Amino acid sequence: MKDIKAIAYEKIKEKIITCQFLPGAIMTEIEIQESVNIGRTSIRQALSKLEQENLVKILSKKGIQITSISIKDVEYIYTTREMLEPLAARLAAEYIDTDLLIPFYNGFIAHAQMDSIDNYLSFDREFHYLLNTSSNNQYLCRILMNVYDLNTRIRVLSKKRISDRYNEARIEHLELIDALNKRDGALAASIMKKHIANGKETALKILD
Amino acid sequence: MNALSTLKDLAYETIKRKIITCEIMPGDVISANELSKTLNIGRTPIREAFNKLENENLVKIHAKQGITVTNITVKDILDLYTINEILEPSAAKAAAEKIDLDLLGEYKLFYEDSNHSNNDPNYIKKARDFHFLVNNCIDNPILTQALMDIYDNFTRIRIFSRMHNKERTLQARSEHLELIDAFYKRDEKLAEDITRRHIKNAKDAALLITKSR
Repeated sequence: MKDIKAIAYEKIKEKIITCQFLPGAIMTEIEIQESVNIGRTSIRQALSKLEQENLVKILSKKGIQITSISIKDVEYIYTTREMLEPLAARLAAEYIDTDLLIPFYNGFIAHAQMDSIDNYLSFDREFHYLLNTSSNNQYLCRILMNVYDLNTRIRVLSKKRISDRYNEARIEHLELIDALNKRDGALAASIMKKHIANGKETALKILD
Repeated sequence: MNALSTLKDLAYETIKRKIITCEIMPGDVISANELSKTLNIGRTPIREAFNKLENENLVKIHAKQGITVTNITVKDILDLYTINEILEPSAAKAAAEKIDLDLLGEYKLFYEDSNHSNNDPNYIKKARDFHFLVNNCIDNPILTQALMDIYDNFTRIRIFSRMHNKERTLQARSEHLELIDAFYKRDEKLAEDITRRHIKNAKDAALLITKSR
């Protein structure tokens, strides 16, 4: 059973990482409270947890600031992914249940889920989640999931650019699925590396 | 509310320290009721602390209320060191380039001193500070955080594997001294190589003790 504090935490976090609360915005506690419709005590506990994760900053009198995103942040996040996700891809090539790749293969081939950028983003996120969990390394998975929460904000902000890159990313995903089906870990790792480097370039452009 | 979360943190830190220092050994059963009495902390904060510890794979909460400290398995060791093999050499390389040499002296003295035991809280804190100092040189707070997220899991494995392995304790100490020396020389390649060897030796020692049990 989830307690009310945990629900408040997840609701607010969702709004932050999908940029419904914009990076850099300053909000009052009441505004946040009204938008998730949960009592004040739970909201405060949730906010203090989110502050620990560096997603908000609690300003003593002014309110709550949603942490902004800088070029540096983009570099930090993508460098971390560049170092660790090829490892996840290499491990996934060994352990993944390839049946789970079928809906993604079909999706990327048929341009399904691509009717809106939001759907595309969540489809893409699901795909990377699958790879991370299929690494069969719970510690690596835990680290990458945390990085992903931070990364989602950047991706939502860079929607316009992402739509430009969409086709390129789609093909990279298909190549990756192919390597996973062949259980070729080295190839999967090198495609992942290229994929993240290209994503980084796109994300950096929006903050120029 | 602050009182409650402080109690939770206190319970969390206290139990975690006992687990990491192997005061409570891998595989041991923990009684939440007893802990609640000895620490004089209510059951709710204790339960929350255990949830957090389970998330870090330090305890396992079983359906019928029992709680056990997770065993250290061969798989855990391989999983953790696979990550470290990628991250730590690059942290050491960055540190060789930009670590503040003025801060190294105290760690050199610390690793030269052979009188402290592995599970002494001061030793653990000092070792943690040293690794944080090195990891922070990556100049990427997210990567540093990633390394520190799994650092406590490593500490437990290290303490456990050195409990009956005096040799490894001495070897690790001299590896740290070599590393500090490489930092003084600002030799990036050397720092990277020493770190790789250090990780391999630590991993082998951990595997040895886990397999022999």
